[in-house]
Amino acid sequence: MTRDAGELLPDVPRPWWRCPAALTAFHAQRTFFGFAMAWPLASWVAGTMKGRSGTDATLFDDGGVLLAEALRVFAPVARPLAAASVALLLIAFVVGHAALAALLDALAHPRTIGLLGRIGAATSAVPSFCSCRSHRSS
Amino acid sequence: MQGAGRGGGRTGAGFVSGSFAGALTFLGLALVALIRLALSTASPGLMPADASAPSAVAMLPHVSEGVPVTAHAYTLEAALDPEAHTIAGSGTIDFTNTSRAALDEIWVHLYLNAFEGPETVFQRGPRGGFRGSGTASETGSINVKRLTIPAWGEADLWPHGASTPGEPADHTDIRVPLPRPLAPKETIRFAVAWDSKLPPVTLRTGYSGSFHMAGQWFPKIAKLEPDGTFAHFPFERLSEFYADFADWDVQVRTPSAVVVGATGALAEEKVDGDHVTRRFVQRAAHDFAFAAWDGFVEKRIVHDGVLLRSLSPRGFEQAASLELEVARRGLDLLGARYGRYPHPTLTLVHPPSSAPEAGGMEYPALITTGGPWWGPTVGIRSAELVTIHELSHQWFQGLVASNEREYPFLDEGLTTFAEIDAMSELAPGSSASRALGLAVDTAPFYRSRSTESARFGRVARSARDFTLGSDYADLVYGRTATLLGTLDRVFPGEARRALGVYARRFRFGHPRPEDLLTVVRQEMGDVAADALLAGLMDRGTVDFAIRGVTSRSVDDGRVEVEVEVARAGSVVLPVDVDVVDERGEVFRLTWDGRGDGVALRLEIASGVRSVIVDPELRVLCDDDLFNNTWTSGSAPVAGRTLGASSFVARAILVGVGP
Repeated sequence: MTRDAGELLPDVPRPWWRCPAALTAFHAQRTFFGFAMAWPLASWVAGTMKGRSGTDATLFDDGGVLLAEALRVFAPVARPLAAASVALLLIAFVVGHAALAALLDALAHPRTIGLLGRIGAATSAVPSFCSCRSHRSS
Repeated sequence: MQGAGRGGGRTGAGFVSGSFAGALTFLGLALVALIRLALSTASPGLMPADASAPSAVAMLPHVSEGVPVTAHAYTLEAALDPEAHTIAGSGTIDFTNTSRAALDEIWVHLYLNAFEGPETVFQRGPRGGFRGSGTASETGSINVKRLTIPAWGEADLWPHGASTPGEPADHTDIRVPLPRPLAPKETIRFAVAWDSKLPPVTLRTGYSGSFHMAGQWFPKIAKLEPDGTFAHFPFERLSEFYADFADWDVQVRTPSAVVVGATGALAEEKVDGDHVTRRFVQRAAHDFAFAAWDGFVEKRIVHDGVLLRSLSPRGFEQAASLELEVARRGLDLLGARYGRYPHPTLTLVHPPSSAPEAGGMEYPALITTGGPWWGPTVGIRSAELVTIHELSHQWFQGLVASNEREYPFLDEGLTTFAEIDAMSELAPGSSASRALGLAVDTAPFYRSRSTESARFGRVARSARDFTLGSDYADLVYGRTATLLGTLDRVFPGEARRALGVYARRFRFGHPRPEDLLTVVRQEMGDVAADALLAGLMDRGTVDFAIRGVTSRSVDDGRVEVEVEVARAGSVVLPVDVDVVDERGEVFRLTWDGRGDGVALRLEIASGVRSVIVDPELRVLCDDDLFNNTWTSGSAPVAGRTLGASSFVARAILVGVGP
């Protein structure tokens, strides 16, 4: 049984600073996935640029000799890396919706059920949240 | 443009404005007046074929020095019908047998016939990845109606129905038997009449609406070699130029509203009802082209005795001003390097957006430019690059007229090096782009593109031997420029200087690859010449790599370091090796590059932190720049890359996520 999306919306707006855990979780997941998607490329660049003073800053020197070389050498691994990034993006998409639902739930309902509890409650509301049913229609 | 490169804004914009424009216009008019005055007084300087018909070209003034008297002359009349896209042509060709042998034939190129059908050599040529991929939606052609030698009689010599040898569907390379042998040094005058039909703009030539780019629009005699043979060949997709220098006197008749830009100086303008006939004269050039359009906006400046005309569409004034400014500075830069531009005019044609394939082309004293109007706004230097590239062709093809078909690298390769070299001075560090905060040169991209192709084919081969257009672009343009750029970095400035010697020595000549290599050997020495020889002729490559670094303690706490450096490939060049100790002090060693590898030793006060081969990236043609380093520790975090890419990733998450 899923809850109606209207239950997620606040009858009385709750100040955002009253739900720091949900807020932190929301931004943390986005930051995490941002770095997770960037890490393989950064790791590859670090490996190729080791030994040069300034490491990867040299890539961005005027002229772009090493930048062009990096693009050339990186081309063969770009496709599998892009595929992995898409998979990660899908996971981030799902997790991001759960985190957003938890944040909305926290803003709507001033109860103390903990972050995991909120995520659980919010997750159960995701289907109706996604169906875009309005508060009034309930 | 240098101003643009250094943050000074688009200096070309508004260049011709206000009182300055007025002064320049005055100078331009004064120059034209001088030309007209000189035309009325100068004496003939061309060897006349027929004293009863003096060549007007011979009266062209020596605006600048060093232009030789040529053995051939074209005196042509062209009537352009802008609605039918046809040119009715007639005129005379003075031809002197400059060879050692008597001639019983001549070969005539009718290159507009490349567009007469799908089975021509041109249309069947390699397309992949270079110079457009489309074919003309309508045909283009040239039909010689009559060719005679009046002094020998009225017989029509033209072999009607003849085709290119071995190519029945191609009519771009035609043999014309002579009724009697032409002795060495003997001159004859041909009278010729023909009709040309321009195709829709397809790779360099044709029409788009009322815009017409007339290249290869007339019958042109093939290059006569000293042994009496003609260097004749059908029109091919990847090459076209190789011809004798000649003098030109060409009258172009168009409706009055049409503006014409052409090879040569405007010598005369006659209005005839609603038409105008403009007469252009040019000494010592190997081709003649013209552009005609009623939509051109014209700008003029005079610089160092050269009248620079810019013809561009409305709305492209900023690009046109930029191109004029780049051409002005380019004349100085390239003139200083390769000898002064010798002609009195240079016309820059920026084709309309509907005719992009007419852009980026070179003819003597006329170049076509291109690039999007928004390029300068976002920091992409396409207009500057195209302008400098085509301007460089004024030397490497226009003045040093090598055989583009047999040795295309002498044409496009040297031009690309000259382009990179000039642009690196006009916009140091950002000659390709300064978009998105990244300053990028063109040389790295030529290098990247050519590195893979270099393993699969020689640079120095005929254009007809390339089966892929992309290989032609990568090797002829990119690899040649990368090799020369490498030499110029390893021996700072020496390749540029050697090329200057080559350009001056073979000015108005027809050099071959061995001539270039001889000059490089004389001016730069055996190491440079052998490296260039290997790179151009033998698929030569080079890859420096660090194979190992060892260190051991010796007396007084000092450390002896041994660096093993290897070189793969047949290009031998000296290279620097930097050893960085734990305190950050740098010790430079040099290896002459001979042999497969070397063990370099030195003593330092502390342990070694890192080693870098070729730290200043002089060896641009090094196959792999990422095996040139060694470090004692683990790789540090690539902070900039991580920061930038995580920002992009988060932006994507925000875009597609909740």
